[in-house]
Amino acid sequence: MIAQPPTRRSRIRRVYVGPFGQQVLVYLLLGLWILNVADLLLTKYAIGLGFATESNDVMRYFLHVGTLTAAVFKIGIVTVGVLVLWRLRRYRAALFAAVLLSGIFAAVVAYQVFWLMSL
Amino acid sequence: MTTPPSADSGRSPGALGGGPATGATAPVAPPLGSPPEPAGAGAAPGGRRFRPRALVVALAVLLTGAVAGAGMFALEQSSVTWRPHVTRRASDWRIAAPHGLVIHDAALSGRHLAWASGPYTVVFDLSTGKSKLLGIARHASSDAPAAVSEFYAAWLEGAESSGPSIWTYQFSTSARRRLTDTPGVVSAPALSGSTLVWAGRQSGATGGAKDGDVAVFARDLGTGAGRVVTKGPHVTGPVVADWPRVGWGENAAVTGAAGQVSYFFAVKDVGSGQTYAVDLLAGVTSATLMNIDLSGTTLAWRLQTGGGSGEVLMRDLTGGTTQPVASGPGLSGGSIDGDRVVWAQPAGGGTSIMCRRLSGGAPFAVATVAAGTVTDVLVGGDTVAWIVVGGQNGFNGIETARLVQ
Repeated sequence: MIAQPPTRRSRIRRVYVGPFGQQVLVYLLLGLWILNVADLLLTKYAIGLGFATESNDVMRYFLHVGTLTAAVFKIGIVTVGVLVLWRLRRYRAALFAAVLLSGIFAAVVAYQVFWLMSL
Repeated sequence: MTTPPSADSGRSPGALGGGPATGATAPVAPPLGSPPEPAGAGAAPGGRRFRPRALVVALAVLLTGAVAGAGMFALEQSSVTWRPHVTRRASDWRIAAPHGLVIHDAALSGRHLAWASGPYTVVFDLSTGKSKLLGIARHASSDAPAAVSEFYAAWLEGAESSGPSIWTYQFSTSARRRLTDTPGVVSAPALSGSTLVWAGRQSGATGGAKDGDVAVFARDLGTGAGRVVTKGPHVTGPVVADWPRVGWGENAAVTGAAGQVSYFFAVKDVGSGQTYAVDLLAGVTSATLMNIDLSGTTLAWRLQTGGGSGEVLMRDLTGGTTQPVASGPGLSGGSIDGDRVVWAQPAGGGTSIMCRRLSGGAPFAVATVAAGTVTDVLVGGDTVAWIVVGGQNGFNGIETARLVQ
């Protein structure tokens, strides 16, 4: 059996995202940015309580330097990432990346919230 | 071959949520070289329209992530946790350490019971039955006993790069605080009301004390007012407090001509300035000194000799001599609050938790532990608590009882 070559339309669907997907991307990127800030605040709070240590070496360095420096770095790098994904919003890969990242951030933040609530 | 759209190919993305409305009514597939662009003419309909379904999909993604995070938390808690298993028995509590951990270094003050269990320092509210994690000693052991009063708990925690620091927790505000100006701590903290007492190495030579000498500090955690109770080359831990009285060890142990050793413990009434010194090892040639406790002007302690025999002793600092409260083999614990002294002693194959009122009367049994080893007994107000290791059904934990006599 000879496989049918993909049509032009199916190739477009495989690579690009339509308006609906782009709007999902917008909400995911917004959620990602907010969750990133929440992660920073919760991490800082948990470290302040003496219960937690930053496991990310880079962030540990910046937190050691100072809270403002850490905040600028963390928010800055995620903001850049969000803008890059928004720039690539027509690509399905950008949507997949946003789904993955926002899902992971949601998991991390939910874990921290439950953990702090359990204290 | 498809080529990525140029930066400008999509025109302005417009407001977050889509490009400008196109007015188009049907999607038109663009050529392969130019991807579909909602912002442009011919893009899918409703590029700028608010799409509730898109929001729902995004929220579903975030919710899925949150559920995964909650699942990870639940999984972790099922294998490693600090939270004890608590059972209420009439007015008493049975508190089992989780996952085979052993409870040690407990402190009791009326409503609150604190202890160390593995790396965790935990406080328990005897009126509500709720536990709270105070600290996790990641980089230092939690061997130093926590202290607890009706207002605060205090404990030691170390960092990788620095020595131990004193942490405090205020029950009324749930505020947890590290005291950053307490370097060189050499003793576990003691608490009485809102007054924290600890021994630490002081930096700089002041008032006859050399740099590096140990000083005993007292600080009101409510007002922040602090003072040096004493300092000098012989000052050492442990410290005890029943404000305004503070006690500390004097490491100038003396060996007498008959081989007898001396270990002086000083107690200062900060209000009057009067200082008392008691030789806790008077009359013995070899013993281990344990469970030094202060209540009012009465000091209690336990001596453990090499043969397994022991003595619980007390002394009224304002006069009188050292009095035995209990003696015999296998004694453990030793704690005083008010006129009550408690300890544990073997009885009929088990262990009796004993209490004696200094105001009079014979010692009486508060409870009996059928199996296991009682490692410590504490009294605070009308509550007695004891630590059991290797009890019935592998019980490791704390049991409490109310004094009714």
